Amino acid sequence: MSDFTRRLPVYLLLDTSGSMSGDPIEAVKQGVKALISELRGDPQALETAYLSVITFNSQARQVTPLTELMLFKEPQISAGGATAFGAALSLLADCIRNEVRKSTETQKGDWKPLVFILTDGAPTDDWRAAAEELKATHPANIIACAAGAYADTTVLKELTECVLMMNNLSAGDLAQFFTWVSSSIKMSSKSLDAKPGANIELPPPPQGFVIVP
Amino acid sequence: MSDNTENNVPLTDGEVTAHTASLWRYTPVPEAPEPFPEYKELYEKYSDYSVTAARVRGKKHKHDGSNCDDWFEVSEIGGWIIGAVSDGAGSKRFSRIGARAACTSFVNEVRDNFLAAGQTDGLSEKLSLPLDNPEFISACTKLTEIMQTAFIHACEAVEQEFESRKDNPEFTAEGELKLSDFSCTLVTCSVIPLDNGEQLSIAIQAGDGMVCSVSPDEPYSSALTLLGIPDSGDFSGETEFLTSAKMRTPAAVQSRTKLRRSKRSAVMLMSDGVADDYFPNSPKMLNLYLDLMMNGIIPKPSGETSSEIVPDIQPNSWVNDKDVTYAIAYSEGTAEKSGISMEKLWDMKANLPDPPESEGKLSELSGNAAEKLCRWLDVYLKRGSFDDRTLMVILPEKAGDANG
Repeated sequence: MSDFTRRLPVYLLLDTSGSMSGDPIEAVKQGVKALISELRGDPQALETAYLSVITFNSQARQVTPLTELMLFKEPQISAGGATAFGAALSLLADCIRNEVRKSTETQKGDWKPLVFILTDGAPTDDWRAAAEELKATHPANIIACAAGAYADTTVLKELTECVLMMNNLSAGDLAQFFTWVSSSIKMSSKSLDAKPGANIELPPPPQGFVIVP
Repeated sequence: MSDNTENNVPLTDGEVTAHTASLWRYTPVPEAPEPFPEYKELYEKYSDYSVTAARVRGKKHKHDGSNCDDWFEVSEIGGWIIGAVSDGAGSKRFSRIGARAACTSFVNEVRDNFLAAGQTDGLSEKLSLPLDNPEFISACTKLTEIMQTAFIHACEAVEQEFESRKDNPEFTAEGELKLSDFSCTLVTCSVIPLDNGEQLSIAIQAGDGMVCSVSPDEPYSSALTLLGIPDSGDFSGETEFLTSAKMRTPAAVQSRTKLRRSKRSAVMLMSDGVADDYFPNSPKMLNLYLDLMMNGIIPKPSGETSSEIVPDIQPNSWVNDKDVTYAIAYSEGTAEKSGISMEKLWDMKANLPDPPESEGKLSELSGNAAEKLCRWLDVYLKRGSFDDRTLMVILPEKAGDANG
């Protein structure tokens, strides 16, 4: 890739705490696989989208650094432990700082990153400072999805205006979520011009999902 | 896909675009409401300059079956050229209408007011006076104010397009219409030939894109003058639009105005679909100029072809019909293949090879330079570049007389 090619960085922040064990984590793995497969059929996404996966349980870890779509390999992920949401947000901020290029006089910046957060619980660590920093600096368009009855939407609303809620953690709903993520990435790569600070446009949420007011 | 994908070796841009070439679809312009033509091109020869301009629908719009959102207009009065290029925001439903209104309003008002200001009554003579002569300053101020006022009126023209449609069911079928649905940028320049053989260029730009002046006789280090300052944010694609209230203040427009008196030079205006492919614009606007020469769109100085220059010619397929391929020459690749710098290639302009003669040559197109420019804009390839592309080239007569 030349230094002047603009990328659309996409970060997936996936909750892999113990409550995601079993069918949910398998559905997440399948969802990531389907997402990649879908995006690889889209020339705009192929030319611009770069993906990273950050998982969080008792710790946060970037399991896949920002990687070109054609080179992306599904990460090995498993569920267990607590929900270090604050650590995940801090790691996200670091990754964006280190991996995403901003515009300068001699370098065309990347497109504004897209962040998709999927969580089924409430944070078990101190998350507020990291959330406040992200909200203040607005380094990305963040979309959060609260999955299932125990997900804390209040915390997510502290981070971003764009919060979706899916009623349960079924494989079907998770598959729908990843399909929607794919559509969102495609839509973003089609409407990449925006005013500084403006929000992006997203497709309507999947049936059965609710936009948290 | 390349074997590199198995080995996690970073892919070259060429490998990626070779893979995506077959995935791009062609979908015609949708019918309603108010569809715009897929192409717009113009070649005009005036007393002192020729103007070659074209606008093409970007690959993303062809793929999705949506309208081209760029527009351009040119006007001329007594040999003075007035050009405008606008890029409608890709995510907004009727930005193309805003773009057309902005360009049309601007060039018409400037033309009328240049005439009313007595353009033919000695203004050109005053503009040739020394730079510190009060009469020169006064004449410059007069013309600049005409353009700045027209620029603010262009913003209002965009708003009028919104007002005239906001209650029209044809336009509100997908939801309430907002002024931001007509968001667009505006890049303008008036090029005025002076009695002393020089020219005055006055440019105003709001949003992204670029306007620049190129003096082909100068060395690479001094041949380019950027006349525009694109608005941009931290990330790509973040720009300002005419629909923003702050664009309509005299102070905002004054800060976006640039004047240059110089030897007769080429002036190029473009939307970001072209400007972003030649970034950083300084010095890469000169690479764009060389690309236009190498593909036979603007004439190169006469001279013997040099065997030292090994042209980089790539067969690029046309999204409209994948069976059609055009041979496109690339200046940066040529410098690389030849083992010379862009500075050296610039110095060897007269020795550049003739435009590609292999199968699918642009020279087979029967029309004038505008048709070649149009097709070149439609097919040249750069990874991640799929926006609408608009380019206007204003060439002094001496340089442009081979284009008819």
